[in-house]
Amino acid sequence: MKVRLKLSRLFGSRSGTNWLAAIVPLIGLALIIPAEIFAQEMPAATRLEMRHFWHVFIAYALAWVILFGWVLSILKRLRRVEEKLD
Amino acid sequence: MSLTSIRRGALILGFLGVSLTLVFHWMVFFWVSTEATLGISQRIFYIHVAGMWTGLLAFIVVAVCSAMYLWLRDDRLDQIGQAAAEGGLVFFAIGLTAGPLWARLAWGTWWTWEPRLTLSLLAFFIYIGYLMVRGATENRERGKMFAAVIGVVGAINIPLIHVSVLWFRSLHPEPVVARVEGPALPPDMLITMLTSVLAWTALLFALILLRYGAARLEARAEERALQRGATA
Repeated sequence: MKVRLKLSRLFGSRSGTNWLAAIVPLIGLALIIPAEIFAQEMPAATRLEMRHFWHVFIAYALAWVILFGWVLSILKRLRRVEEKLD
Repeated sequence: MSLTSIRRGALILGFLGVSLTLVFHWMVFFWVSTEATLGISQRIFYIHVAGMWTGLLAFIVVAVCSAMYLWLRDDRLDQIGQAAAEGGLVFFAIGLTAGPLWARLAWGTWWTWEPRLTLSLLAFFIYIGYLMVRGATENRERGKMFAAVIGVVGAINIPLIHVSVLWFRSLHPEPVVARVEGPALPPDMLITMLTSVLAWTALLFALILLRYGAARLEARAEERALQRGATA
């Protein structure tokens, strides 16, 4: 509740969730819209380089998502079994 | 191996794995030189190779544990095999997703049904089968036995993945490190690659130990539940 109040002060909205409602679709759009649309004004070489950067970023991000997914599943399993044993 | 030593081992290996992972990420993004032809996208190579190598190593652990389980019928071997299969799938998934992202820029295509890629995908499905077959039978012991057989038979695919690029003409490049003539990589790239492989190998064994510990605790909880059921 405190966090919500602070955020609402920071973003100037009455509800702390309003700013979130505005930001989440923007993040979604940034992920959905291909980099080429933003790069239309760029020279071809820069556009290609940007594409290389995107692929590197996605590859490393996916690696960490997959790895963390497994770590979380193990921790969840451990917590569940420890609760069962207690 | 007691649960305390499993936890301690996982902690030490985990610390080593995470530290080396941070080091190799620093090397990849700030230290290693950029490859002249492939450019910045060549940096995907370090997680692609590390993911595939770690995955294959985990599948070798599955094969060894499966063969020993078929011989000794010790549940702990089955639990280690199961943990290794999960780990292998996780790291193989990383290698299999990083590969196409790189291939799109290097080859102009996300995927091609050439021998190494096809055999790698086959290995991925074999180990999904290894995990799925356990729940497919009503008799749990039989499920473990079927899984162990898949674990042993599936290992035939592992050397084939390695030699496929040597035996068949394919789009995938030949090995650049595991070669008779010695590594064909510049020293900085080789050091970065070896660090990434070492980091994820340590991380793999840390997580296998953690997963094995969870399986041991689950078995203990089941035993207790059965004892309670018998006394009630």
